[in-house]
Amino acid sequence: MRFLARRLGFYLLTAWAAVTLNFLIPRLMPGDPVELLVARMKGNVDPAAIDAMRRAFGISDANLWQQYLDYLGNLAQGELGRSITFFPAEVSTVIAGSLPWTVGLVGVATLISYLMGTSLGVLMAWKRGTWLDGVLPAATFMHAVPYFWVALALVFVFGVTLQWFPVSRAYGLDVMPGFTGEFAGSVVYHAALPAVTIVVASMADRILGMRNVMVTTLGEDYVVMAEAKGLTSRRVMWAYAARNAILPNITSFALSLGFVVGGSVLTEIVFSYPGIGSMLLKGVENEDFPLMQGIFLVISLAVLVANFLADLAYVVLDPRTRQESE
Amino acid sequence: MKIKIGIGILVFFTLMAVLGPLLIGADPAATGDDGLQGPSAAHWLGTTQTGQDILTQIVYGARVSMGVGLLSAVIANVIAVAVGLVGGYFGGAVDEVLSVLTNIFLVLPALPLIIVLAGYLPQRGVASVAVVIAVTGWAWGARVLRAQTLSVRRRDFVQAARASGEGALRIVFFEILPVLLPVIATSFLATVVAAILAEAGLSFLGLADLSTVSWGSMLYFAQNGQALLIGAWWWFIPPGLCIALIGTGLALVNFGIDEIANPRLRTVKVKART
Amino acid sequence: MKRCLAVLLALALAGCSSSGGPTGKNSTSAPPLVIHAVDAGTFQEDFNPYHLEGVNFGTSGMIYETLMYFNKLKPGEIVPWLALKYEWSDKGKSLTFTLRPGVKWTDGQPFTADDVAFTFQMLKDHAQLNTSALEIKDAQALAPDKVRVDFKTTSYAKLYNIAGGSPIVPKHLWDKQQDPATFTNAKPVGTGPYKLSKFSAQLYEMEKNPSYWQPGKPEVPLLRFPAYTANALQTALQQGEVDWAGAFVPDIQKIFVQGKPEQNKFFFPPEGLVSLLPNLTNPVLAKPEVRQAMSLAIDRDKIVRVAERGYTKVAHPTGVPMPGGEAYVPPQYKDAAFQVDVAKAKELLKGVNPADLKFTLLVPSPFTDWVNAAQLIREDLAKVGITVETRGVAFQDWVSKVGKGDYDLSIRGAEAGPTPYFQMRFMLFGGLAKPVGEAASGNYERWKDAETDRLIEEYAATDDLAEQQKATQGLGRIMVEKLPQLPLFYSPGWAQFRTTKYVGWPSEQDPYAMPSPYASPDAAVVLLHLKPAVK
Repeated sequence: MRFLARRLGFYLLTAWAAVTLNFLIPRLMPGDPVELLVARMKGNVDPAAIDAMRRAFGISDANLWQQYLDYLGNLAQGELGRSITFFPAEVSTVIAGSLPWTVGLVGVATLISYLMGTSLGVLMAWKRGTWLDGVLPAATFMHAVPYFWVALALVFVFGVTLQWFPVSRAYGLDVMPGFTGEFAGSVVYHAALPAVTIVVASMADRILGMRNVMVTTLGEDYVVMAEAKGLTSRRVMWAYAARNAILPNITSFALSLGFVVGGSVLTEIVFSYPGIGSMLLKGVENEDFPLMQGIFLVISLAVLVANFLADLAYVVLDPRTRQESE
Repeated sequence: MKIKIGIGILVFFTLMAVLGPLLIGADPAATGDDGLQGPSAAHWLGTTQTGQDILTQIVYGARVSMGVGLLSAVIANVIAVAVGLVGGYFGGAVDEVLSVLTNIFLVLPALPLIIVLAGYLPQRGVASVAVVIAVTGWAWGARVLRAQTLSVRRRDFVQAARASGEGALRIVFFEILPVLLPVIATSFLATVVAAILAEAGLSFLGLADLSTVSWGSMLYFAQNGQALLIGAWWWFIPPGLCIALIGTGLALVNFGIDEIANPRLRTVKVKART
Repeated sequence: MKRCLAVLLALALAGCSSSGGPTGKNSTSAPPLVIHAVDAGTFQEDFNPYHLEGVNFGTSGMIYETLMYFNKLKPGEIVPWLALKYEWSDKGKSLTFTLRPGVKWTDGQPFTADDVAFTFQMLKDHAQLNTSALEIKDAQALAPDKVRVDFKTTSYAKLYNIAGGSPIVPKHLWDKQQDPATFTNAKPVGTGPYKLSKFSAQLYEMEKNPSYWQPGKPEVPLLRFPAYTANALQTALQQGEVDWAGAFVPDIQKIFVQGKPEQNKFFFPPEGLVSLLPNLTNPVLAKPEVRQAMSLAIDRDKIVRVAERGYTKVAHPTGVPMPGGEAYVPPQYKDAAFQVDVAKAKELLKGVNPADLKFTLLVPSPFTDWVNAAQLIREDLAKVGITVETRGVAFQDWVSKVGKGDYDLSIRGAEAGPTPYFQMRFMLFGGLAKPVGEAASGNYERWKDAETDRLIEEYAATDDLAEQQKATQGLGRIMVEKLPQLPLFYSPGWAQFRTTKYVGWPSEQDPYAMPSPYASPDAAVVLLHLKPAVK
């Protein structure tokens, strides 16, 4: 229990650090969003209107400390403010409209890649010296390929040239969102290609990582013992070796959620997918403080929660953690 | 075998980065009137839309991409070694503080943070991109090194050094560090790959310095010019392939080191299980 | 009336068949037109014409209309729209409009002078909506068809912003709004040729307003606006999904025209001017002979050909957009054109210490064509002994550095506006120049010249077209002779359109409106000119 309490404390501290960084970073940028807006709108905004617009966007000239306190106060009330790019839309609305797509696509694809990669890694460690070793160089290459480069090539081949899959959007143009079979089918169809690219690109890491841990585990006495007892090899592989080898992988899975959401920026740009990653890029490009802060906060919190859950799982799966209060 | 192929790839690219520009001599950004030409005798890898020679760009780009990779790996690993070893050896309050710091950087989502930082950089030179990547990339290494230090600290030779009155920092950097070199080397090589990929990703999003020719900025311009849609595959494929090859080379070397440190990992035919 | 019914019927049919796909084949009705105006991954439900970026395209022009229409391709041409005529009084401090009778809002209410007065009162009361910074003192309805707007200062030069840039909104719906600045207006009611008929995050549609005040128009019954990101649009253009787009296409022949120039057309008229900006607070760049030499060294033809892919034209030395701006060009420079003369450039630089001729050229990285142009400029200037280091920076950083005067050389565009005066004022007016370190909002090179400022004030003090043209000609002469900026090429307005469904698009021969779908209210003017293609 003490272990969990400590972890909880740590997560609160990290959350605070994330919130603070998140507040500070945008304010260290050159220029300000209204200047940018005016530059983008070319002739359509008269410089004399700039001050009024700054006020409308809620860009304050108060000192940093005061702004920080206001920011924390608003956060405490769940207020994320209004986006500047999509003014007057609330940041929470923008996030609510984009987050489900990212979670749905990237989350599911990551889970598939994790399961497939882990199984393949286990198998490869178990069957060393067979044809499965041939997967290793391929996995090594995939691990090093720039993700977006592969994704663009796949889009070109399967989307543009063969036209098997749509090249953009989350669902068909004329499909109205709702709880209908048509909508669900359209969503799955549109998510297929991006999901495959995510699985292909991220599976290599899992395979390599799992294989290495597994190989080490296979040398442990209890595995040798189990084999000596004459247990079926399937049982030794999964119930003895893999079960233990998988533990560190759970933490690394939780930690990798950060990379997942981060990687979603590239996926969503390549596939014109309306998720949170493309919104984040838009926020950065437009120096939209409130939007960036909001998205960043959501991502950080999601990663923290995932890690906390991973800690819980660890406690359940590995009795040693329960005694070891560090 | 693997390590040999890996080293071969690395030597090839290193020679290309170091000597290539001297041999070619041309300006990688120089434009010409013969845009979008496929590979030919005059342009071995063809030209971009503005008539820049792609082979020249690949050769010069190797310098930047590998430079960013190396530089950020050096920075990241220096931080990781310092934080991991000091925390692991000293323990107590020092370790607590450093652990919290490490964990904060570990759970902060890296790519969004890089994007945000890169978007805010007053200058997007090669060095600042490398620094941004390093700042967000050191934590994993620090965590691994801390764990390793914890186990090394209890070994006899460390105890002996301590008993003989050696200074703590001396023990950390002259007794423990050498033992951990294989681990550091592995983490270093992995960071180089990650940094090269991160630079490519940043360039692709238009957030790195695009007036410098790197493999990432080449991909940005190729995508911006819709290279695939207009059939200019020679513009799109080489930079990505180079990144993939160099990453593979580094990973192979890494496996080699791993296998030396941990012989069980070898794929030699131990025994075929059924 | 019968015609109206027929159109309605056709519209209903189009509405039904459209669910089968964007191209309703075998349908006798006029097909919907698929438009891409601005890059967007998703749309927000915002139809407030006074919002700058969150608003969906088509809100101004198709739904809300202005009092007059100004054709930027024919500077000086003003078309009566919701107002039949305007009249200045009180030395340019008072403007009276006579409104078009018989115009109705799409909810059936009549459009009156009260609506116009309300709109300008709203701009006065809510400074953040007043993006043209109109100095409104008062606005009142004199009669149901007459309205007078009073200004604090002489406002002749702002006629465009008042009559051409302020969409009129219905008082009976908008006066219930507490804060028009945050009002998203999900159910817009306007006077324009279209009304919103469908909205989702990926697609919205507008259908014909059957009781539009221009009889028999528009002939396009349904507009579809799908969300495309910049990347997705290129594929969509290649596959013929979009009928009308305004995008930069890297290789237009291969991606869009595809060997069918009669069907897949494009028209890129000048929309503004792109210049090389010298920072005049730099003592070396302040020397006219240095700027002269640079101008002579730069091969603008090559920049247009290589960096701009031939999509635009080399600028006239006055910077005035041509064709169209002829009346604003001083007669003696009518036929002037830029020439490359390396020998003369070197001659001019004889008196300058070569060690001083080292500059950085700051360009925004995301503008890849400018990055390429900067590279060409670097190559050209090297030939006359000027060393230039190009530096690509973030867009934000570029805006900030150029604004504050923290650069040597940069590239920047100036919007043409309804007449070349707007562009010249933005580029040259001394009142906009700020000390280095303070963000300027125009005149980034920091040009200070009494004659320039006098000419700009002269233009603003009159509504006589000939006088205005004369003042602008004077500014053109200063551009040629003193080179405060080095004009490079015109920034093109992007427009790609397919003639498979509709014909009657603007062209070089008949530039009746800006052809870009993102230009408002021009896009609505284009739609009102379209006729179904005869098969």
